[in-house]
Amino acid sequence: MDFLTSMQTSLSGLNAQRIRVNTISSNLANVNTLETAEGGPYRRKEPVFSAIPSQDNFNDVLSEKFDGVEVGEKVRVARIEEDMRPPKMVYNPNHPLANADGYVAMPNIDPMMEMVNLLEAQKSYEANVNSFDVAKDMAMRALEIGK
Amino acid sequence: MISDKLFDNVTLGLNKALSYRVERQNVISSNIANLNTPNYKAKELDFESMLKDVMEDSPILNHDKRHQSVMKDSLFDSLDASVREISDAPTANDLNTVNMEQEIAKMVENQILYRGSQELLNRKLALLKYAISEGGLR
Repeated sequence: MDFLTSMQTSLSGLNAQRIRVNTISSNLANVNTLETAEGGPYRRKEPVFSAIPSQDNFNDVLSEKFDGVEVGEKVRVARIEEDMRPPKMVYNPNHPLANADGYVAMPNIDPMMEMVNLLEAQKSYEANVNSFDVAKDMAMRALEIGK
Repeated sequence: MISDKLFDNVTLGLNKALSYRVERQNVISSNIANLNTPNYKAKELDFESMLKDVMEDSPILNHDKRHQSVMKDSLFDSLDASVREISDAPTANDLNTVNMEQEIAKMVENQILYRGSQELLNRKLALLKYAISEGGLR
């Protein structure tokens, strides 16, 4: 465990939140996309985060195996899941993609929810930047010991 | 452990305190990185209570010269903080127990105390330098 582990952990957080922002942008951009390669309207996508032990180096692995000392946990995007909720049906009989009853299948995206998620991702990103800065500050100060 | 002839207990203690602050920062940054990880349980380094246990058993408090050298090696070497899960209720629907405000506050506190220990260590070392240079004569 050292300063670098802490910085790596914050970096993994930054990375995960950035992927989350990308997914949200893609959802917002495709809010009216009616046709996709898989068929049907665009489906909302969401990253799934999972925690992984940050055993970066030999020393971390050793201390965990021998002393039972846990190292910090990084975060990673395990996969990007599709929201399986049914598409929104909007009545628009003149639309070329309307079904027999005159309804068009629209993407199951709620722009308001995406915006809230976007804000949360931004705040989490900032928190990770802060934590990176603190680790950096501590490392710089360690260099000044004895000066 | 660095030479105990040259460095006294306070210096050794500060040394340990700095390492502990680094580890604590590490645990806090994993909590912050996992702010949005479902089922993640917030973790914490439990050091203060462990230090208290060691100090209560140790002869440091009874000022006996004969015990000083024994204590010096064993006290700080046996100090190892353990990581435990914070048993708070989840703050979100995803069963994640990380409380962002609390983590930021802990991080800032930790940073300030790290700076404090570093400053104290610097002053101790400055005193040592002062003595080595014969009170600034050389």
